[in-house]
Amino acid sequence: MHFRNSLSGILLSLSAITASAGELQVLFTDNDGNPIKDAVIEIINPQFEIPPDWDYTGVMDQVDEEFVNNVLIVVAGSHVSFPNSDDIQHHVYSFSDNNTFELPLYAGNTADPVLFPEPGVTVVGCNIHDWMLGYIYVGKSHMMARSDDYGVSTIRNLEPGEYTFTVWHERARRNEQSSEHVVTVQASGTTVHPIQLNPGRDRRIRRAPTGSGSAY
Amino acid sequence: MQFSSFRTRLICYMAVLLILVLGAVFISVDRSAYSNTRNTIDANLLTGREVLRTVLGERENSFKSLLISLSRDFGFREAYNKVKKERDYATVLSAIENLLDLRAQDADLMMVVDYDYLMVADTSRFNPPETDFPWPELLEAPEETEDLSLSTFVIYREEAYQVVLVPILIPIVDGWLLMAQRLDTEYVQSIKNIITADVSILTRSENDTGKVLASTLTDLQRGYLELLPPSSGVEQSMMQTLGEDDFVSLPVLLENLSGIDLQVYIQQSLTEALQPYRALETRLALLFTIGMAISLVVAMFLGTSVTSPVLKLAGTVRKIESGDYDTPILSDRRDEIGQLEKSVGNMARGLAEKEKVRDLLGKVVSPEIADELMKQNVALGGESRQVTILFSDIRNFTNLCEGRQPEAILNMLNEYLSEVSAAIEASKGVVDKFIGDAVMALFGAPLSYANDVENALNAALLMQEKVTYLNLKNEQKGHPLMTTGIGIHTGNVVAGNLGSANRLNYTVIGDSVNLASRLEALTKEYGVGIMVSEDARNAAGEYTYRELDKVRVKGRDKPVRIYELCGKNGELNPEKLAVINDFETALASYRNRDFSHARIKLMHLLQKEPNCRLYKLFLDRIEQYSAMPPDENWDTVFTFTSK
Repeated sequence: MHFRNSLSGILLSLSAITASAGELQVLFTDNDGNPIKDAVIEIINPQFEIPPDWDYTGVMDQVDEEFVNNVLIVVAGSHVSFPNSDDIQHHVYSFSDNNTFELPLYAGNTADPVLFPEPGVTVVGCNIHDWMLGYIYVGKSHMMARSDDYGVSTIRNLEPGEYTFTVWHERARRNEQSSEHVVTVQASGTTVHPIQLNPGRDRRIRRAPTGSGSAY
Repeated sequence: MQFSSFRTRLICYMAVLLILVLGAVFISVDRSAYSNTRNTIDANLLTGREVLRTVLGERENSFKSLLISLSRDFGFREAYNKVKKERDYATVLSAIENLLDLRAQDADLMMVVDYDYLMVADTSRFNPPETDFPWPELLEAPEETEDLSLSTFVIYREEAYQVVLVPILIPIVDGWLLMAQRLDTEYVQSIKNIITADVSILTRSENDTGKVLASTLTDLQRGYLELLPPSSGVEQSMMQTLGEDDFVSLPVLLENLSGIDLQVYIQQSLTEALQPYRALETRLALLFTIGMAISLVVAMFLGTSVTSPVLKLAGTVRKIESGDYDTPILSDRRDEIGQLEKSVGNMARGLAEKEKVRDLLGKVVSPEIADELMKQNVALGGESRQVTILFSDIRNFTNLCEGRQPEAILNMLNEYLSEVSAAIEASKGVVDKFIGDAVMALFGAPLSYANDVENALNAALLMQEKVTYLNLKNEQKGHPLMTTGIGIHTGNVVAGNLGSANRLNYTVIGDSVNLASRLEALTKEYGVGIMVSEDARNAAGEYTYRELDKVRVKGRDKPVRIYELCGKNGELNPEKLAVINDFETALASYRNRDFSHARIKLMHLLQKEPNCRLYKLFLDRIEQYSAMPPDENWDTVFTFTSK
């Protein structure tokens, strides 16, 4: 069932391809064939020039005591803002090695955007609401993609050739995150590369049932 | 079982009854005590289990709250992140030791574990940093709570611990905080203080025997507990025998994520709980023993109070039975025994009186008649029966009395009558009455024998011997000699009580009596000692008789042959037999009217016995008949016209 959804996702993606370039679609499934959402791929070889007009900003909103689009991909050097759309304050922080920061209690858009200069994954949390988890994937280049609800990560406009990419997912095993995948992208059409992950346990605490927002 | 003694029987019955009743009471009390105690203990253990669970639950919540507060503190998160990155484990250890000191009264152990299940800090200092966490399986536990905390029990350094783990979130799980309490003997003792039941915690050792980790039991009881098989995994009370004590034990199943074999029992000594009942039972047993002793003494007393007078009475009755009626029966009792004693006394007096009457009667009448009178209702009337009647008389008694003192006569007569009475009674006859010097005796009434006639003849012969003996004595004393005449006849008479309603006499009456009396009278006429009738002679063949005559006595038309009883067959000498034969020859001649031949014979006989009155009698008749011969119809019967 999930696999079928994944296939239909692929077909939808295929309909959008351009005629002059190839497209890489990585399909993430778990051991049971279920699509895995929010898995990120990043091409590390060859290296790409970042377009001069690339937007080096990102937004991770907070609504109903949750991070909206809690897996955000940005290029290193981007500024990410953490607007607070709730009517209570949040205390956003990260102890991640690449980007440690803290946005003490604030409301609305009063917090300054945070610069993420180093590539890597920054785990973002709220000191008030422990169940709030966000991931900022800071890539070396813009050749990144995040899997959609069908488990498909798509990178378009690729010249035909061999590409090496890495994989990240919040629950992926260490070996899975450190391994590199090589794929040959065809001149036209979509090159589909399935990857099966074995996600670890979703070790997060569940939000308190008496929270002010809707029940999780 | 048979007991000859009433007292023994009473005691045994009383003892058996008491044992049954008291035994039933004892068993009932024992079972009730056991049941009640067991129920009370079961209820207590159930309460204890809930208390234990509550205490553990509260401790869990307390630890969890503390750990969550710590782990969610931003400062701690920051510090943890920092020192971990810097591998400054000592600072983490210091931080948790500081916290532990604040909570020293509750928690015994704290640990910090990182995401990779490696130790960061350990207040017990037995697990250095970066070594493996002792219980990684706990962190892999499939079931997670909402806050990712978990609570379980572990065995650490041979002691049981209740542990609580909460994650360190920065903001994802990056490690765990562990807080634990040692469930040692001090702890179970504190539980015991609350629930008043023993608590034991066991595990299985490597050799599969039990190992007590903590217990409020004695060392000895722990040893026994370790030998018992593990509980079945059901929270149901059961019996555990620990040495001399029986315990009711309730297994408590604790949620246990570590997979260790941890058995927790709440126990209460049944033996101890039953002690008040045992004391009661001891008192009961004492009371029962006293009650039994008192009852047995009372039974013995009662038995004695019954048997003693009864035995005494039995002795008295035996004396009465043997004829001693003089034993006094003195009793002032008013109960049944007293009534019995009085009745026996009355009976003895009645018997004494009866015996007195019997004695008196025996002196007045013969013992047999006395018995006959005593044993049945004395009433007028009689029965017809065959009786042999003996009449005896002293010849010329009146002449003997002449010139003698009445007392001397009476003495002589009494002596005579005593002897002849003895002779009669010795021959199974009874003296019917004394008529002056005459004696009337009966054979066949009131008791009859097959040989009554022979008895009468024997009595007559014996009487003659007695008289001979008396005459020998009298001759020495110079007293006159006595000659007796005895008449015997057997025939039908009427036997019974004769007289008036107030005064009666057992006797026989009838023609046969008269004939016997006539025969006695005729003995003088014929000069013989014993005269018997033809009927008596025919009934007793073993004797030698001499026919005397055929007579018609006064008052009796029918003639009767009369005989002299000469003795028993074989006792007479040939001369006497020859004499008898000669006389009978003479008598035959006489009856054939051959008077001359009869006279010659009689004269010869008279020559031998000059004083024989019989011969003279017939010689006189022959003289008369010779002078005046009888007519042709002479029937040879001699008719007596006087008594």
